[in-house]
Amino acid sequence: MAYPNENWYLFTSPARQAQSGVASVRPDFTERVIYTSGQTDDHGSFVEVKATGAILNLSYYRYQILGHIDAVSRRPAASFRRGAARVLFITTSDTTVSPPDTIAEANRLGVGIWKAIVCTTTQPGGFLQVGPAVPLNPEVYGTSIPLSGAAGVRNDLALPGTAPAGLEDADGGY
Amino acid sequence: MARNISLQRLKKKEVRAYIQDNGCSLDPSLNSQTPVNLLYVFNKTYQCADGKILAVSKAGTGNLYNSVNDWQSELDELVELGKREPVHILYNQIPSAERFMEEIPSMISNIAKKFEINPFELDKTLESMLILDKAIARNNQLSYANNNMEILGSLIAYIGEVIRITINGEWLIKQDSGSSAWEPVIVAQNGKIASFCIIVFDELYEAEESSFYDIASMLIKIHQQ
Repeated sequence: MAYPNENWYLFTSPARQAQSGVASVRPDFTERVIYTSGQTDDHGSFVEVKATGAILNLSYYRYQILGHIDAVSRRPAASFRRGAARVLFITTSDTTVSPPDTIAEANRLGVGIWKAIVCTTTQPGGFLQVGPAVPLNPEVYGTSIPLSGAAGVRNDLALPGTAPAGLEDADGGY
Repeated sequence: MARNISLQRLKKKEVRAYIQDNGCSLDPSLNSQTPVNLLYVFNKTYQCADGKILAVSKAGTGNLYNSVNDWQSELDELVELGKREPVHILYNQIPSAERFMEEIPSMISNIAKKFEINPFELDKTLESMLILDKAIARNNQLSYANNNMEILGSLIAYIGEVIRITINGEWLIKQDSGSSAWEPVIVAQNGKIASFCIIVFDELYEAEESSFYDIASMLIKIHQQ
């Protein structure tokens, strides 16, 4: 199903093109990044939803992960500060997001890699929740990890076919 | 992207063998010309005795170019690619909103032609999606990505027709609020809207193995409920 606020845009990735012949990526959602200086980037944070049980190394599906990191590193947010441009992976618990090559490339290009795990509630009906997002390469931020406020848990992902408006709040904001 | 550059992709083993068999040596001057964002792919650049250039990625795979000029052209094209603004997935893929519905027959005939399928086999039944799945899988083995993108609009038109007929629905052009973007959707008799362009795109572009039959089945099931 197409979800409300789903991203319809392709972002070019020269690295993915050179490595696999696929010239772009389509993150499932994008988020606006607002920096303390007042600078904004409407698509400075990519959100990718994966329920594969796979290891998301750079080469995952025709270098899609390399493409995400490369493409988001070219966004204006990347110039705000290291880690302001980021990729947030919303995954099942059996999906590995932080193999060494992914983290190394993200660090090299100054991209934050974040992860939030989807859970089901114990209530009848199997409601889905997205847990708090956590940075997987906090070192990219130096000594000041931009976490403000308590991590949030969303519980409005009722069923496939709906999606949270304002997914950007899933991590408590930054 | 203009792809007139002759490029051969090498696997790890092939890279090692090529370096050994063709007298390749690292050329730091070429490496220093590589943009920072591309250093994963062009991690080490070799000049080979046969005049070819071998760019080796951090993963150990390689891109083999016929000449320094080809390698430089590739870098130039990649730099230009990186400057492009994001584009809507349906941009240049489907006719204008006004013409979309009238062009559905010609889009479907394009897909039959592209995949060399007898047009009579594309009879807009759910079962016909299996024929299409096979044809797309066959095509993916030969060539990928750019060829696939040529058929996105036609595939949307065909799957839409299969869904529309099965659920007795109607096409609708759904305008995106706040922008000029639009998408063709199918409205079921019960008012449910099947918005499926992104799913088709992802299945065509980002899925390990495509099954448009499964997608059409799922959408039909949901919209018949």
